Amino acid sequence: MHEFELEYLNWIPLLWVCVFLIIMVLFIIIGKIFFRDDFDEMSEQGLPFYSGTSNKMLQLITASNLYWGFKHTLQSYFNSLNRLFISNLGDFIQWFIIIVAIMLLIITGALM
Amino acid sequence: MIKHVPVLLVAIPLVVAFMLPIIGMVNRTIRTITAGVAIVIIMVLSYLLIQDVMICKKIFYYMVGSPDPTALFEHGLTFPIRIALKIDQFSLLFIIMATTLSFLFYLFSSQYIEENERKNYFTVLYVCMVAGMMGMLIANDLFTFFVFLEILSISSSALVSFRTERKHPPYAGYKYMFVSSIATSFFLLGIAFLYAQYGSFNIDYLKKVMDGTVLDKIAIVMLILPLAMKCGVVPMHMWIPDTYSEAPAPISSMVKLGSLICLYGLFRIAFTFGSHVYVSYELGILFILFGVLSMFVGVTQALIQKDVKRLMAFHAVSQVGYMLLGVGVGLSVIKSGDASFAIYGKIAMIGGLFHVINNALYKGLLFLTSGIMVRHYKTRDLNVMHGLAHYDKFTALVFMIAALAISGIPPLNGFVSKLIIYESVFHYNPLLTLIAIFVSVLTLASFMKVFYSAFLGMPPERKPVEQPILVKFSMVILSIIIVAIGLFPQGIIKLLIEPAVNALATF
Amino acid sequence: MSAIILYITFVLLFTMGLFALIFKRNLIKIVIALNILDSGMNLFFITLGYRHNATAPIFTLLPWDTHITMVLPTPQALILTNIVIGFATTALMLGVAILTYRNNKTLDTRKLRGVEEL
Repeated sequence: MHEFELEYLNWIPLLWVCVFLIIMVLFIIIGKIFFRDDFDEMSEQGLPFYSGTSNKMLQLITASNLYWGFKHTLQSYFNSLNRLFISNLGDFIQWFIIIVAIMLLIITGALM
Repeated sequence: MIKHVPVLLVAIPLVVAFMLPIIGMVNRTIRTITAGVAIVIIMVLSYLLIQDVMICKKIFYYMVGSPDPTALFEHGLTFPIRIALKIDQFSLLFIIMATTLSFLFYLFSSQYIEENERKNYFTVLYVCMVAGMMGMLIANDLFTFFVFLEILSISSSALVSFRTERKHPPYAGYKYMFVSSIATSFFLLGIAFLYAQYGSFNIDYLKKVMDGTVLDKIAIVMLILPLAMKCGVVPMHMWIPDTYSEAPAPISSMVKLGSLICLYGLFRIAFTFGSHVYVSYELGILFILFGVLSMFVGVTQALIQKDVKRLMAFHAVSQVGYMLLGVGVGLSVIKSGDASFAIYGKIAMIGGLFHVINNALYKGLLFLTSGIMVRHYKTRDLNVMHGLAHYDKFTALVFMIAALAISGIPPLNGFVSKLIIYESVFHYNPLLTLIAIFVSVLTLASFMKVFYSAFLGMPPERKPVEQPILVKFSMVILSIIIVAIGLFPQGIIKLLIEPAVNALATF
Repeated sequence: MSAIILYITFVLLFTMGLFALIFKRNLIKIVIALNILDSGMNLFFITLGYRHNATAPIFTLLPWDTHITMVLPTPQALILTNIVIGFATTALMLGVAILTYRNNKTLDTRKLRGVEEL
């Protein structure tokens, strides 16, 4: 009997490695099955197809394009966060003093 | 010899730091090696203590300047006013973490930072930072803690503004120093409130005589909140992305390590004084609130960042939340009187402290890889990065290990500590676990974004330069430690974490 | 009586410092505000160790049965340390403020965003 209940951490390290290897092998097998043999990366098949623009940078999906739905939905939340911190030095100490005041009220029991 | 280790841990880096400029005037290679050797020596010293402190449960006391330094109370003194140092299990855990990581980051920076006349100052300030961390970790009186906190702040602020020829780093250093000066002023106010009542700075003595007056409670708030501000707990977190993103890459890792040392002070003060002033339940609840807020706000802000270092800095905010959550659950039930501390409170604390170690490892590694990315692309903008993995497979692999570790993917160390936190916090309140898992998912999402835009896509216009050997070596060692802790967590918990939790939770 | 005046002075200095820290926009003025805050802290500590009609704590080997009252020695030693730390902080912040002005041509915190605009 251990002093603390962390028995589930007594895992076999080799098992993790095996699981990892099995997943890798599965990936390779699936890739072998579904990739066509006549694919040649060096030829034109390797190039992506872009329609519209010929500027190479615009053809990429850049980092700010990712999760745009998330950003769009939570726009008001992010706006309110940005309004709290307009990157003035005064903001830091202002929030610090507010938190000190709140914590003093709670800890000293002035609210009770 | 071994009884002098506490003072040597501080003295060696301090003495070496002020020797370095003179050595640097003679020969730059010798200077670099000297600083490295000093850090290695304190690392070996801290490993030597494992046998005594962690296994034999011995606690080292040291009174600097007294004829017999290990004697606890000198004749004629009713309470000690000397500089008191103490190493117990909890501080040794952090000492081992700080020395090992600062050595690895030093290896990285010794070849990453270009060699010129300013490298002298870099090395001096770096070793000063190590001295500040060591001093904070072994100080047993509040004023010594305060002095070393200031040493740490001043040297880190100077290092944050290291690249003074660029536009923004000086202001980032100013901002860091501004925040730390306010924090330390309030910390000194807290010390003054305690001194006014009990006439001593010694933590052990204060613990003995504290009786929970209102002034004590005010003092505790004044001691805890500045440290919380220096770790970047959410309503006071906005300086973290501003400063971390402007610092050179190894310094971002070091400043992160310094903020974890402030977290040490936070836990130490909350646990030592909290229960004597009868506020441990309130403090625990506040820790949990701060933790949840930090986790959520940090990760949602990180998800929309375009700047790679700002993104990682917001994750630093969000990861501090996990530690506060784990330890806060332990703190809130420690005085409850029923068996809840034995059932889940202690395990939550183990998870929290384990997460500190893991977080320091993978967060440091992430900042180091971000340094390599920034050096290659000459910008921190994720929108213009693409395809580094075509040429630099090594950085891609190392980044992947660190990114999977921070998002809690099974065979890596982040998974273990997050699992412990989920399991134990579930007994306390299932909602907290849900939030923690949700934050973990968002972490994975935001690092997928970094990996996608920095490493995948069409090949970059020019080939990256080959990284120097020490840069690669330090990153390899860090990733090996990450994988090893993930595979064998039980040994680390038994050897280091559990004694630390026991030392923290006894009064 | 004099101690109360000193405590009031401490409170005034501390509030003045905080007020200036929150509402001043100039980097140099912020450094001055931090110095005011620091002086307030120093005054507070010294006042804590003050004893009325006492002498300076400069004796070694004083016999136990004397009736000399001394002011407390620890706060004075600590305040010396704190003054030195405050000096280092001020020097560093002023140096960094000069560099900020050189790179950005302004000291106004509203115009300095401090982060690279992407």
